[in-house]
Amino acid sequence: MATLKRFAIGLFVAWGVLVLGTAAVAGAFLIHDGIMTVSVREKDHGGAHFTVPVPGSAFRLAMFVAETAMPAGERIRLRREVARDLGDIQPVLAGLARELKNCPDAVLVEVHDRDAHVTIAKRGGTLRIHVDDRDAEVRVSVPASMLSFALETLGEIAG
Amino acid sequence: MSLRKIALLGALLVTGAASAAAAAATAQRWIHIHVDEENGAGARVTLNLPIGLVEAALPMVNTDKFRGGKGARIRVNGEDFDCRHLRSLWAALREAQDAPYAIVEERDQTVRVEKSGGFMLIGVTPKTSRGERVSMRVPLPVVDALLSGADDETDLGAALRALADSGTTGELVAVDDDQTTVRIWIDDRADSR
Repeated sequence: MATLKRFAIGLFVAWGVLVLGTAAVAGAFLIHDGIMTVSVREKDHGGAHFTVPVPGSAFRLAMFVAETAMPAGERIRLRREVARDLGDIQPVLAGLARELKNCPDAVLVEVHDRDAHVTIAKRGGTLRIHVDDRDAEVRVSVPASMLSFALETLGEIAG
Repeated sequence: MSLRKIALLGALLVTGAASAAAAAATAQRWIHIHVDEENGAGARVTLNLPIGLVEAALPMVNTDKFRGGKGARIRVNGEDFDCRHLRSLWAALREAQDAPYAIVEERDQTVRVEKSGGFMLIGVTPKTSRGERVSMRVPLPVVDALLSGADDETDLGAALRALADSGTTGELVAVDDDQTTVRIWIDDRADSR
């Protein structure tokens, strides 16, 4: 009876560690990769207003699936497509993303005219793009580390 | 050594290390570009970019005259100048003493090119109130780097690196006319003031 009890407790503890460990790893990825959000608000009466959050780990998962679950032929085809689409620009984009990741917080670009106001800023490790014109207001925020990871990974896929 | 002295020494070391780290962090060079248009659209554009970011983006520049940060010929006042000829001219000018080297009086403007205090100064002064006023201040090592490309190529990437290393701060280019004001300056600040 005592042995059975010890076994049950041990099983419960192992299960708890597994669940908590998985949650911790998932949480770490979320904290590390952050969340990209896109928010749109149309200014006309009854216009759309929505916000879409996309966790950075979704991209990591997609890359994992592409590299492990895809048949070999499909993987080769994907690599060729990415290499063709990105061409020589990928290392430049990856370099740009690295510089963005490392640069201090600042308003990088601001354009203001009669019809629109656009800002691109880096705040707290996140690239924030804000477009405000007569028709709509759009906000996009992308963790700089996510951008850097995505472009570097695409470069690895392209070979 | 007493405990109090050890603690004081430790505090001084930590403060010194923190200051050095802060100084290194703020030593990043920023290029600021501000364009103010007063015509119909009335656009105002401000760019605050770390030099490293500009350098990383240079390979994306692909125009007739510039490809990947390297370009052929320099256009001044609507006229193209071959870099090979400019290099010979520059080699002579580089070693010469500080002085105004060209003062060109045109019908509607005066153009002045001068070497002074480690800079090439180029100024265009209009003779009427409606003309375009231009002033450029380029550190000499930046001109060296710009003309360091192969054959008839300029090297904008090398010029940017030289600008970052030169320690120059302040205004580099100012253009004023009826419609538009352009200012380009470099400093260690992330914001544009």
